[in-house]
Amino acid sequence: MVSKQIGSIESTLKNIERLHQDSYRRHGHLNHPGFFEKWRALFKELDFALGSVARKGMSLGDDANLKRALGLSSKSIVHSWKAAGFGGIPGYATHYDRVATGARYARNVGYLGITLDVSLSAIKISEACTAGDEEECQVVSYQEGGKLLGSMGGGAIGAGASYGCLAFGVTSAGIGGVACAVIVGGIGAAFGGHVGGGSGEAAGEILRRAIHE
Amino acid sequence: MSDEKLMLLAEITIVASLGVGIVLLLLMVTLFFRKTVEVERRIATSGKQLDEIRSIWGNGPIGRWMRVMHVYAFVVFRHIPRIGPRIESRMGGETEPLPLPLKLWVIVPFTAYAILMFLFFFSGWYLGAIG
Repeated sequence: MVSKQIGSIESTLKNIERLHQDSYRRHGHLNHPGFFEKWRALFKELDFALGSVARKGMSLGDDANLKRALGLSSKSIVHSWKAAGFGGIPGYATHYDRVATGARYARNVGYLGITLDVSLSAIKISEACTAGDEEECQVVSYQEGGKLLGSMGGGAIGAGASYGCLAFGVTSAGIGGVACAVIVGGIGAAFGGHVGGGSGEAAGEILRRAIHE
Repeated sequence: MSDEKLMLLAEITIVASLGVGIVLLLLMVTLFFRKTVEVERRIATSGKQLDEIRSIWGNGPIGRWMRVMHVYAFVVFRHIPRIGPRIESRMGGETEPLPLPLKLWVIVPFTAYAILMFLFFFSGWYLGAIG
């Protein structure tokens, strides 16, 4: 969910840069009324997507500083383009790259979590099975297998809590886009994984008893 | 129904719901996913949430799951009174009417999975596995 939110910020940042470029290409300046109208809409979008947590995380300060923090001074952009030639907004790529890196990072966190879960279960099973107690090995194998599947299933459904946050527009209530995704999505997945893990462990034990006893 | 029978029912339910649920989860991100992609192609209008989700989350297992959840959300939540149209306009748009069988490929597996997970959690709670 964080990745999704970051992606939305990334896309808005791109659109803001494109708007500056298009307006300059068409009119030779950034004082066109149409430019300001679109600029305000995109900033509103960006403000909605950012939320306070992301703004702090990206060192962007509060609302008033957002334009300056992004390096979006119309005068300096036009001056720079006149002096060095038309291109990207100077310094702007730093923010964009930071967001893009964040998206990649957030996407990989999910895979890391699954890998850790699988590794921990494998270690526990391996420890129990190398100790020489066959029954203990069987109990741990079923319980850990069930726990793993349960936390996967529970975590998957728990993550759904975060899209509810976006779909129902809870973000507009002031929590902030990224903060809402982190809080609701994170709690949902963690809660689902935890509850699912506990139930899965029980399911594994029930299955073991049904098969072997 | 006696306590013993209820316990037995809960034990059967917890194992069956987990087993079938995990199989469904895997099917949704593998075999059934092409149906989700087909629906997504028709509803993920440019610049809307579903379009962004598709490009950001990609085609990995987690990405596919996120896309399945969001396509489901679009197809189902847009029918919620009052807020449904707002959700629909924010997420995407039905540029051409979705055929019912295609919608069912999205709705039925996820709904079944959600129900199975509810039963799984509920049975776990009943059996005292959730502490």
